[in-house]
Amino acid sequence: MEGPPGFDTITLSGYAQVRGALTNNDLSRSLDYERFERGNLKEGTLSVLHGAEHRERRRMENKLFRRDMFELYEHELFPDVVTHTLDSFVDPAESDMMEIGGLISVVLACRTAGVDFDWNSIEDRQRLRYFLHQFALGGAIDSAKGDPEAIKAQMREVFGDFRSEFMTESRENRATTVKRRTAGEKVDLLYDILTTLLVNQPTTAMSDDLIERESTLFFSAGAHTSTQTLTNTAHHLFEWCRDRPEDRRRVVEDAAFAQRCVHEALRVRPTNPGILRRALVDTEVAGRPVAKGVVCVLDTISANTDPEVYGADAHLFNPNRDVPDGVPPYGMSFGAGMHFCIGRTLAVGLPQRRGVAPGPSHLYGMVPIALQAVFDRGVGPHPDKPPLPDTKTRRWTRWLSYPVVFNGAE
Amino acid sequence: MAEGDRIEIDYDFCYQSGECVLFAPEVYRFGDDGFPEVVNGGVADTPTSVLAGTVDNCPSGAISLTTGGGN
Repeated sequence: MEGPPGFDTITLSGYAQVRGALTNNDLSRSLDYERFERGNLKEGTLSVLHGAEHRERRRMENKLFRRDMFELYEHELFPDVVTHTLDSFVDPAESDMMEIGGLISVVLACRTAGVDFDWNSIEDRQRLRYFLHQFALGGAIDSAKGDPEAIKAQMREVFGDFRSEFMTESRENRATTVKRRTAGEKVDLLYDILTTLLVNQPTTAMSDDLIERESTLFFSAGAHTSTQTLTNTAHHLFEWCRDRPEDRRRVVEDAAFAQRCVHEALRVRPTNPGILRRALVDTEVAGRPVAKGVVCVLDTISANTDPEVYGADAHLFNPNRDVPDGVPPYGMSFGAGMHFCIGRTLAVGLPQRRGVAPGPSHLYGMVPIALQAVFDRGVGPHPDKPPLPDTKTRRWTRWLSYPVVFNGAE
Repeated sequence: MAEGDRIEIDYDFCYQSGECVLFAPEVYRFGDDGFPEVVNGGVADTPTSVLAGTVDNCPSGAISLTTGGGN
C-alpha cells in the first residue's frame, strides 16, 4: 500500500519489521497535525495521542474493558442483539454482509461509547450505519484518497448532524446523572466511555467537544472494523467451503472453529493493510535505520503472511492452521504495543491456546457469534450481484457492499 | 537489570492484550486464567531497558516498574 502523498516514505515488511515498528515508541501515529488532525474529528483523541498522554487517557478508559464486562456482553448482549437484528431487520431471502454487520455492530458500539438510540428502530440503526461509514473516512483521513481539507469539512458537517441527532443529548443525560451522583444522590451511572469521560472531566479538563469526539471515535472504530471483519470472514469462508461443504455446519456448531475462521480472515485480509507511523527522531526498526520525519508504511499483509512465522502456505486462508506459540493468530491486524486495539476482545475474543480446547470461560467475541448466526441461516454469495470494494480509501481490503442470499437453516 | 528492579501488574487495568508476553516472554507468561504473570526470576535476568519497554508498550497501562534506584 502506498503512503500519503507529500512525505518521505519507506515501507517496512515482514513480521519482525512490522512488529518492531509498532512497538517502537519513537514512531508516532500522528503524521501531520495541520494536515490531518486540526479541525478533524480525531484531533486530541486517544487515536493520535502518544507517550504519557496516551497512557493516562488509556488508563482512564481501560477500566471499562474488564473481564466482567466482556462476559456480560458475550453471554447476554451479543446473542440477543444478533438474533434480534437478523429476525427483525434482515430480509430472510437476500441482504448484504456490510449491512448485516453494521446493523449488529452499531448496537455494541453505541453501548460501549455511550450513544443512546432506539434499538428497535430500523431508522435509527440505518442512520447510525450512515454515520459509521462517514466517520470511517475521517478516522482514516491519512489513508483516504482525496483532499484532506475537503474531508475535514465533510466530517465537521456530518459530526454536526450526529451531535444533534444522537450525541449531545446522550452527553447531557449522562452529565446530569453524574452531577446528581456528585451531589450525593444514589443514582446508577452507565458503564460506557462517555460516562467515564464525564466523571473524570474535573480532573482531565477535557472540553465537552473533545469528550463527544472521543466517544464518537469509539463508536466509529469499533463498529466499522467489526463489520469489515465479519464480511471478510464470510468472503473467505464462501471459497473455503466450496471444496469443504461440511465445514459450513462446523462453523455453526463449533464456536472455536468459527473463532479461528475470524482470526484467520483477519490475518490474511486485515482491515488496515498499511498501518502508518512517522519517526519523531532518528531511530531504527529491526536493524533498519529510519530518519526523523519519515513516514513508515507498515505492510501488515506481509507481516501476517510471513512464511517464517506462519508457514510456507501463510498467504492462504486456512482456519485449521497450526499457529506457533507466542504468535498472534490474527497477525498484526490489531496493531501491537501501546496502540494495540482496545476492542479486540469484544470484537473477536481471546486467542485460543495451541492444542488446548477452549474452556467454559473462554471469550469468543461478537464477530464469531454473528458469523455462526448468518451461517446457520445458510448465507452464501449473491449469484448475480458481485461485491464492491471501498474505493475511497487506500485500505483496499475494505468492502463497500457484499450482497448475499440465504438458503434457509443449514 | 539493576538490583532491586520490580515489576507489578495492576489487574484492574489489564485487558489481556498479551503484548507483554510477546514483548518479553522471558519476563511474562500467561497464567491459567489467561492473565499475564511474571515469570520467576524473569526480572532478575532482564535488562532494565527491556523491562521499561514492557511498561511503555502495555496498551492498558497496567504494568509498572520500580527500578533499583527507587524510581
